[in-house]
Amino acid sequence: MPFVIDKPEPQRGLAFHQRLLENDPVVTVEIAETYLPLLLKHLQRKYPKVDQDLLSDAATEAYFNYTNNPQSFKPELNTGNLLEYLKMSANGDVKNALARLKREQRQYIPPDEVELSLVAGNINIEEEIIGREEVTSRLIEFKQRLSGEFELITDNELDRKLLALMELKERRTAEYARLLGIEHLSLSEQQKIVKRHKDRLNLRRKRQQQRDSKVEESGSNNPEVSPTEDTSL
Amino acid sequence: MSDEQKRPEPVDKIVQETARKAASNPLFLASALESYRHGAGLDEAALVKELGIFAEDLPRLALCRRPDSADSIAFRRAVDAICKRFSIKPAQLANILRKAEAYEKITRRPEADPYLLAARDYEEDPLEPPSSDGPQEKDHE
Repeated sequence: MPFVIDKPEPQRGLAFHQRLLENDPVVTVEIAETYLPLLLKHLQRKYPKVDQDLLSDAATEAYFNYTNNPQSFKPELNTGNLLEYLKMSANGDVKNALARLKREQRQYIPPDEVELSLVAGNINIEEEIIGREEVTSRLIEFKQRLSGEFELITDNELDRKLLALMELKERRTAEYARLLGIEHLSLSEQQKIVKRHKDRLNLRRKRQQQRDSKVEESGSNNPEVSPTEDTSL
Repeated sequence: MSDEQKRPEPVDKIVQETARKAASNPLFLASALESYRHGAGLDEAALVKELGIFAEDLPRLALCRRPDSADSIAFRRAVDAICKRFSIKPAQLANILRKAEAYEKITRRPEADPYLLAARDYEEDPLEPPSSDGPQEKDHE
């Protein structure tokens, strides 16, 4: 059966749509082969400077959204043109992704500055009294405390950096992706990998807290119980 | 797949990527093929051989709707339609789908099943292998 179609016409889209509504199991392949390359080309023309993975993700997302929920395409409202509907959906995805990236870039503050601003923020009322020297000493103390805590949790330098970001309540995937060296992957893949690392480190942190509380419970009478480094990874 | 059958054109890169992503979407046949492949310990080439299709057709097959086994008539109709399109023996595909479903039931995460969840009282570290000592995992000290 020929699958290469030069340009789908509105009638073809309507026929695909009808077959999809009737649960034809093969029509999803035909829709993918007919529209995905056209959709990607459209996005590449419209957003020539945007990352290719982001555009591919948007095209794929538009396809999945439609095939998972074909009722979302209403021929009477979308001039009956499935391709135009898919373009609109993919454009929306690209715009959302770009807006998210723009927001992240606007909010970006290098981690060192965040540390300073965090300390400064905490002493906003007092800062005139305690002065700059004390701010500096508190910053050093803050860093030492974090460093000490992280050493107990992991001996891996990369993990410590990730923990530092987590401690600073960093929520942007891009920051973690930069550290992990996975910026070349698509955003959804980056999010998955970052989440996995954060879950793992949260678990380690939790275990360390449990160990700490055990040490506190046993008190200083039992010198054999001491927090030790977790080298399981 | 017979020798005289014409080798199909490879799919576009974006279609291939989409077929790969469809593996995590239960509405697509890709999810069943992936479950079966993992469960049976096959690589893609072995799966293609078992199905008796051209490798170029695997992404196409993956992007078919997954037949719903809850409705036996619709299931059979869907299997027949897919098999006709890709020249697969219906019994072969039906068998793969049944096995895929069985593998999925076995490997279903406890979070999805409240009965299994009740049996689990510890947290897994997603990147660490399960401890042979049981739930109370010991750290190296």
